Amino acid sequence: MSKADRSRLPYPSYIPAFDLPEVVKHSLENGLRLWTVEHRNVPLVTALLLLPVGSASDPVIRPGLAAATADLLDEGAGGLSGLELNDEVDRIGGRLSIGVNSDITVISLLMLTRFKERGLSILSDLVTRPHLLAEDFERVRQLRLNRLIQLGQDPSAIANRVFMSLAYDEGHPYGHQPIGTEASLKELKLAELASFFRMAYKPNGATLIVVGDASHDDLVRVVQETFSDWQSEDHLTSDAFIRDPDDALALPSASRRLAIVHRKSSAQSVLRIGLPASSRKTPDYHSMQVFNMVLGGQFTSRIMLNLREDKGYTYGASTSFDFRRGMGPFVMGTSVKTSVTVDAIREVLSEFQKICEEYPVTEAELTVAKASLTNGYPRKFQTAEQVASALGELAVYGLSENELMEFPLRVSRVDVDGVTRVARKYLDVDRLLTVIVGDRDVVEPLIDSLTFGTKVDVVC
Amino acid sequence: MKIAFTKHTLANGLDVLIHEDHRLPIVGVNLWYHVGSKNECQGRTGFAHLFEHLMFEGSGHYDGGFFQPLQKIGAAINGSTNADRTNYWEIVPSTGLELALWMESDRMGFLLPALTTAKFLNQRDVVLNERRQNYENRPYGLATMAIMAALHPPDHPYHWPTIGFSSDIADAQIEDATSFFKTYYHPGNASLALAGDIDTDAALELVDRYFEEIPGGTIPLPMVEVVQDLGVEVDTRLLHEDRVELPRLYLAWRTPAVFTDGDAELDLLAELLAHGKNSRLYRGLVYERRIATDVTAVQSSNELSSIFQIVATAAPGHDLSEIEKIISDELKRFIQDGPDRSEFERGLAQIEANFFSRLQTIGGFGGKSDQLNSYNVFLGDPGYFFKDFTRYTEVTSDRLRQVTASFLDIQRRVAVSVVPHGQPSLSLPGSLQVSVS
Repeated sequence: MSKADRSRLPYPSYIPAFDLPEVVKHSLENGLRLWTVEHRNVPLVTALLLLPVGSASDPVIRPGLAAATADLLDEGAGGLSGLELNDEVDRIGGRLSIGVNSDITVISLLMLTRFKERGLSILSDLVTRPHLLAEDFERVRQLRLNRLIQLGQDPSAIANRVFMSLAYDEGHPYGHQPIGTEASLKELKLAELASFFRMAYKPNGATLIVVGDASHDDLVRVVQETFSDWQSEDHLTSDAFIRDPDDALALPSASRRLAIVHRKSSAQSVLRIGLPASSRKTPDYHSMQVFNMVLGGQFTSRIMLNLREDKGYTYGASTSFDFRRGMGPFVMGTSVKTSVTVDAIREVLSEFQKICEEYPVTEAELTVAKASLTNGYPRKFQTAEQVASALGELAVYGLSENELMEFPLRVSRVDVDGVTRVARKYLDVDRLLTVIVGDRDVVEPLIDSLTFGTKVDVVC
Repeated sequence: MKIAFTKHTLANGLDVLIHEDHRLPIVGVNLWYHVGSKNECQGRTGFAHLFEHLMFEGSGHYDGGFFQPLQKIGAAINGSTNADRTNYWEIVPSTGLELALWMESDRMGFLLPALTTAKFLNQRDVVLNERRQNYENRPYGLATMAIMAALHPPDHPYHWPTIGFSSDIADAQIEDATSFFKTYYHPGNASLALAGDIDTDAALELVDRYFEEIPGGTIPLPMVEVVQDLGVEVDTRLLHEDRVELPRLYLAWRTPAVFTDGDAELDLLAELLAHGKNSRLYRGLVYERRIATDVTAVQSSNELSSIFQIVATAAPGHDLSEIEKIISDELKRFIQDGPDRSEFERGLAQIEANFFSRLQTIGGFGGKSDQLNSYNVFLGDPGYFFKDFTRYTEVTSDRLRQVTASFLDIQRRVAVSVVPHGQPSLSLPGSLQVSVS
């Protein structure tokens, strides 16, 4: 046995290739797209049903409609009351989750393989025959209002909400949170939910992804048995109903802006700094991912090394592009000790400035960022849920399977010029919005409006 | 249903567990040190966790930080500290195993030469910010500290929170790191698990190469004497005012330690009480009466003893006494009648799916390598996975009733009411104000 050589790091000479699982695609007669994957690890099956309608399709006067509708699905459907339905889900070892973001509604059910017929039949009932009863609606409405109260006390949730509402023009589909507002939820009528349900829950435009311990044929058979009866009730396709965000309404403001939400004696200031940036379908996608890794997308990123490892201002700081169907935002998020709030913002702005101008991404940084994205790729395909959700992203944004397969290759082709180009294109430091949730009495006197921008009012 | 493995113990005392899983070309490296906040004392709280941070700041033969080389090969990296243990893990491409072992062994054997005052002071600030972010600035974030302090006497190692008290963190000294490292961070107090696309013999040879040269140490004495202490002996009611709008009730009991009699029963009980819309408390409090807006129950299993907790947030206009009464009545009914067959079956189906689900990932928190280490460190039996499952399937209705009756006694309960500032009257009657910060 050879002894340890600690004079140099033993980097691997190669990174093994891996194959993505085979996806078989079908279409049911009613237009439902079905993708199946055999995933023979443990006796579990996961089903992910994606509807291309999310909170961006809320009417302007009714934020929260899409999410409230989704929340009512498991309160009774088909021949089962809400409690009966949830009892059945539990009995098949089921984990049911219903989620709504700006672009989509996702209903997922993980279950023991031996109960897959039962599970898919429940899933079908949820989206084809929900009861949508008045009494359940009132209870769900109240729970969602309670949730809003809770979120109103949480500084991170406040920061996210205020950032989005100011980053986008009033009435823009991304300007509100999926849960909506108190005023809207109080006004919400069951008839509005029912009508939203009829428009949004249709087989054409929807995708069902089933991954698990069964053959393709078996999975297709079960889905055909359970989903073939799903019909559209009118001639409108889902596509016609999607309120596609208008990018013209998502332009960053003409100058820097700053908003402070006062939270007296706050132990920290929660910060969000960013601006509307780009849609998922941009050809710059891979360059932007690499750029983000260097700036704030991983532990060794510039922002993290500066704010945490050098200054000790924070436990963590990160940046991300929130890619959506329309123009999603680029945001830096962190929580810092109140007394260093202004210093922390200065450091972030300076890192933004540097990466665009005097200190662009270096070859060495580029290499690490690319390797980090590509070499870590296989671990994102371990569980049935992970495989389903990776495929789900393709379905939502209308991307081909090649997108997954080619991800490492396309990342590897990104070069420093491309990264600097996207930095300058998307990170316009003169148009940034900064949101501070913290103790205004301590923070405000230190702020110099020339640096931080025009103050905007926040009504909470 | 199992995690197949081989176990070897090196001459220096390091346990090595290897599990092969060739589905993807990756490997999970998972290293446990059997030290946590239970090894601290009053005045030095939070040190085990602060020390975990120092482990990422570079070691004797590579002082450029732990993340940099591993991120170059696409690794996922993290660590965590709790009352009982500290774990570190990387998920790397299978060809990166040697690099991960080089890095882990270098910080196990040679951390101190690279530790500087500047790094220490920096991470002390980082941890203070972690505490602000996750506890002080988070609604209800300090409730758990009040519970732990009330359930355990001041000299009990679970009396203080793992994150530590702010003043102790601020007072921590670099000199303490040296003795802490020498006492707890050596092969004899560690367990290394590898799971993934590797060959057992080849992997073991690499482990030998990098870890065998590190000298073993004395295994710290287990803290057995405190296990006898059962916590409070009278219905204890406390209140904490916080920046919240809806009052929340925490009910907590000391319960049997992880993997001992009663632990699985109480885990299953938590499932029956609060998982899903048909669970007794969700249905009673949220679905039917609508006096609470959420409810959870959990058996938090630990090495010396565990905590069973029921937490419910009041719906607007409702008070915590109403909620407490429903919970107490439901527990009485459960103790008298036991579970009905239907809820029992539901609970077991959920447990079965959870166990299968745990076999899906090789690394990271809760992955197969982490589970092997948990079984090995706490039981000396890495092959416990299936036995762990049968702990649940063998629970009988009578046994569940008995365990509930003996441990969830109101005279052994701590109730903490978290209420909005200035409204102490919203707490359970007879609650004493506690100060947590």
